[in-house]
Amino acid sequence: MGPLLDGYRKFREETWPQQRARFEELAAQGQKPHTMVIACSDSRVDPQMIFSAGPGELFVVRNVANLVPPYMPDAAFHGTSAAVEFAVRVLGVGRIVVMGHALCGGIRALIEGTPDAAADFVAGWIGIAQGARAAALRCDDPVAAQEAAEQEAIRISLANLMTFPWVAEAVASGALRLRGAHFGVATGRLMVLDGATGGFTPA
Amino acid sequence: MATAFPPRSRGGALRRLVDGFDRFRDQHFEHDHELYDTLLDGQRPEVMVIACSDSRTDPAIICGAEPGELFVVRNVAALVPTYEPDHRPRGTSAAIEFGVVALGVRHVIVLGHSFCAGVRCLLEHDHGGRRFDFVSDWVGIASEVRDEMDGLVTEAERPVIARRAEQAAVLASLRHLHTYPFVAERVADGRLSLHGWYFHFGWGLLQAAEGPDGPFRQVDRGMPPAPAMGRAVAEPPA
Ligand SMILES: [Zn+2]
Ligand SMILES: [Zn+2]
Repeated sequence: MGPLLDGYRKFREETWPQQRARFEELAAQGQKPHTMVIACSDSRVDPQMIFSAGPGELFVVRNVANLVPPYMPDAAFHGTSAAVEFAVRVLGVGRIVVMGHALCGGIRALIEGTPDAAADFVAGWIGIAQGARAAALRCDDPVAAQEAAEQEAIRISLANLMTFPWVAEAVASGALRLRGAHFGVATGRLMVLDGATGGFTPA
Repeated sequence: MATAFPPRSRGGALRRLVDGFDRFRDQHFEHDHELYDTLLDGQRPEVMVIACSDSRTDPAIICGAEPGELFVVRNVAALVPTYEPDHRPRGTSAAIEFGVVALGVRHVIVLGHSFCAGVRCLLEHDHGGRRFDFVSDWVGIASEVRDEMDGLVTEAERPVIARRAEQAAVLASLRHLHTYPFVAERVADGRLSLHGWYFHFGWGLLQAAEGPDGPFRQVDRGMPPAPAMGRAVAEPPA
C-alpha cells in the first residue's frame, strides 16, 4: 500500500498542479470522453497508460479478458452491458475499442480450464468467449494457440457489441465505430484489427 | 507513470490515441523494459482496485501506479454485487474471484468518486419508470444507498446528498465484497484487507473510510490509512 500512497502524493505534488484546471473544468462540466475502451483487468494493460490519455478522454471498462456478453436485457446485473449502454446512450462516445492483450490469464483459463479454486464465477464469465477455444485448438504451437484465442475473443466481443440494438443503430448511422486491438505485453506493440481482412496489423 | 499529461494535440480523437501510444512507447516502454520482462511470466499485483468507468478517475493516474501494480475492475459507479454463484456471466464477481483466489492480492480497494453519474442515476431513478435496458438494474445493486438517502429528513442541498450517497455506495460495495466466502475467509485470517477510498476530483483529494461504516477522512502525508475491514497487513520491505 505504501507505494500507492507515495504515488498519490506524487499526483498531489506534480499531476494535480499541472492538471488542476482540467480537473476543475471536468468537475464543473461533466465528462465528455471521445472513446470507450474495454480492456482486461490485468495489471500490465492500463489503457490510460498505453494511450497516454489525459483525464476525461477515455471511458473505461476493465474485466477479465476484456469480454462483452451478447445483449440480454433480463434484469440481471450486467456490469459491462450497463457501461456500454451508458457510454453509447448517455455519453454518446464516437468509438468503442476492445483491447485484448498477450499473456492473458483469462484466455489461458479458457484454453486450459479454470482452476477448481476459482470455479464460482471465472468459468461462467470466460465462457462468453467459448468460441475462441476452437481457434486455439487449431494451432499446434502453444504460443500461437494463446494468441489465436486472444484475437478470436476480441472478434467475438465486437460481434456481441453489434447485438445491442442501439450500438448497431449508432454504427449504421456512422455515429459510432467499433475497433479491435491487441497489446503485446512483451513487445509494447499494439496490433489493430483490420475490418476488411479480419487480421491484425501493427498500429 | 503519467506524472505529466501531454498537451492535447490538434486533430481527431483517434490521432490523439495513436500519438499517445507513441509517447507510451518512448516514455514507458523503452525505460521500463526490464519491468515488462519480469512481468512476462505472469502478473503478481498485490492490490486490486474496483473503480468507476468514469473518464476522470483512472486509478493508475491517481495512485501513480506502474505496470504490474494494480489489478483493475472498472464498471459504472464502482459497484460490487453480492455473492450469487449462479453460473451466469458476472464480470465483476469473476474479476474478484480471479484477483483474490488466483492472483492472491493482499488488498482490495473500492474507489468511489465525486460527481459520479452512476450514483446520480441511482438517486434519480424514479422508482419504477425504467429508462435503460441495463444501467437501471446495475445501479440497483446499491439500492440500500437510495433507501438510506430517501430516509434522510434533511434540508441538505442535492450536492451534499450526492456526495454522501457516493461515499455510502463505497461502503455498500465493501459490505457486498464481504459476502464472498473466499473474501471473508481471507479477511478473517489476515491475508486480505478491504479499503474504501473516495476521490474528490474537483479538489484532487483522496479520502479513506476508517471502518466499515465510515467516516471518510482525508489521506495525507504520514501513515497509510488503516483498512476499513481486516488487519493492516505489514508491508514487505521495499
Ligand atoms: Zn487479460
Ligand atoms: Zn462514477
